Amino acid sequence: MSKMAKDINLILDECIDRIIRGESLQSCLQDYPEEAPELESLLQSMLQTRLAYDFTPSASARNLARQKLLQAIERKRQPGFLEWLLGHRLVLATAAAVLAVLIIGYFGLKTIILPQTIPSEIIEAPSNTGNFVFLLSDEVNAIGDFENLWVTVEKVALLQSGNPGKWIEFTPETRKVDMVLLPGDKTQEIWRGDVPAGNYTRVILYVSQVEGLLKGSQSIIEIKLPGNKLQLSTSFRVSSEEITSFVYDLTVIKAGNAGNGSKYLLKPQAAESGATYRPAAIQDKGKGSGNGRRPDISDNPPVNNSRRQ
Amino acid sequence: MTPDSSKKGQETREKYEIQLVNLYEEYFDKIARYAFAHIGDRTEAEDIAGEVFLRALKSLDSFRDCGIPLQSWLFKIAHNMVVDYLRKKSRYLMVRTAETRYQSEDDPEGTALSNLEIEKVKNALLNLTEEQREVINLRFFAGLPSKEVASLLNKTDGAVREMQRAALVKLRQVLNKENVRGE
Repeated sequence: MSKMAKDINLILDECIDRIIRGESLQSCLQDYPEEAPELESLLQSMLQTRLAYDFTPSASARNLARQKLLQAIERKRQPGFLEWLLGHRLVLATAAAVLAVLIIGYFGLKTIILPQTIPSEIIEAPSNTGNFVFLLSDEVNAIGDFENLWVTVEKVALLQSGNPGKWIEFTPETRKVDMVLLPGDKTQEIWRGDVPAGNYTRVILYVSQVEGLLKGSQSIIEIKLPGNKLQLSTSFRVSSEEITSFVYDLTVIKAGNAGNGSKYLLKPQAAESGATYRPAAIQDKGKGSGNGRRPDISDNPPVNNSRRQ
Repeated sequence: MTPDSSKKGQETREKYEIQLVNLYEEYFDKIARYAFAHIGDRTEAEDIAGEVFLRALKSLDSFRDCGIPLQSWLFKIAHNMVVDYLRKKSRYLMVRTAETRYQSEDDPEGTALSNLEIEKVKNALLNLTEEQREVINLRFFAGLPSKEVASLLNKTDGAVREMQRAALVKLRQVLNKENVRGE
């Protein structure tokens, strides 16, 4: 290979990188006027080849694949009961037999409720300078049907990864939120405080009540949630060096039709939920209520216009 | 295995899991484009891209720092999946020459032109060697830098750049001929 050939290979490679990054063909040619005639025809062929196979995957395919990946990670981090059982089958078989005899003998056919195996830690007090901000938002779906839609959040639980992991729980300062005020990119901070550093894989909202006032109606309808909780599988980190802002996006979906009596469902919107991060040193100008105050605990608390916290 | 090494292994796995999720945003589209260039079917290419991340997650334990970054490893998985896909279809050449079509009801004229263009480029790509074609796929469609392509193909950076230029010279020659014929 000649020296010249080596040079043109390097220049060509650099120009290809620049074009992939979005620069124009002309800007590359201007930087290499001597090689421009050769470069131009080669890069035109590259552009023609790329253009023929130009393809952007659909957002739905991307979201579905992301969801599957996050669910698979969560499943992997929590070993299944069967897997655990297989690892301890001899000891367990003996213990189970003894336990079964004792339980059946003592309690008869009483219902047995297994205790929760994952420990939990409750964060008692919020903090203005905390490393974690929790916000709510609302994906536009059937929210336009409502004059108001109040969601009352009793508790938020975050699953810290590990074996067996740990639930971190806190009670929002702003518990009752009108979701009508939070369409699209609008968010509302409901809690800020210090959360233990680590990686997290699940977020649960414990919702005690969802009430809506439909447009043109005087009566308030109640939206039922199975188990009064909304679960979201996701993956994010919390550390002491940065502030993690997690937006939990909810959406209201209308099911049925007017003739059959339509009903509304409240669901987490995984694709729109997630965390953003910023260095802890940056102060919170324009955050929360917009004037540095903590959000008020009221029916109409302040709202942020952007989900970028 | 000691509790310490078990804990360390778990931490490493979790580190890779987080890395994999972070790579997802940047690399899903690239992998889908890479697969599309190979198999010529957009929907299948999207499915393959999603499956690549699931397989990577499943095999994270076997992933060691073997000299290539995690993102390059994803393309290794993608390559194997594409090969499997084409083998199952058992019509590699037919796919490459006949199935790369798409339909747009809104713009039938644009669709026809686009299919013609794909046909032209596909025929030109068939004139390249298998290795040159892989370099072009990884560089142009997946957007990987030549250094990463080199580590994936077990070549030196210089060899990849040389193959890239030779491929482009060949493409230019065939495409110019096709362009003149099409005028």
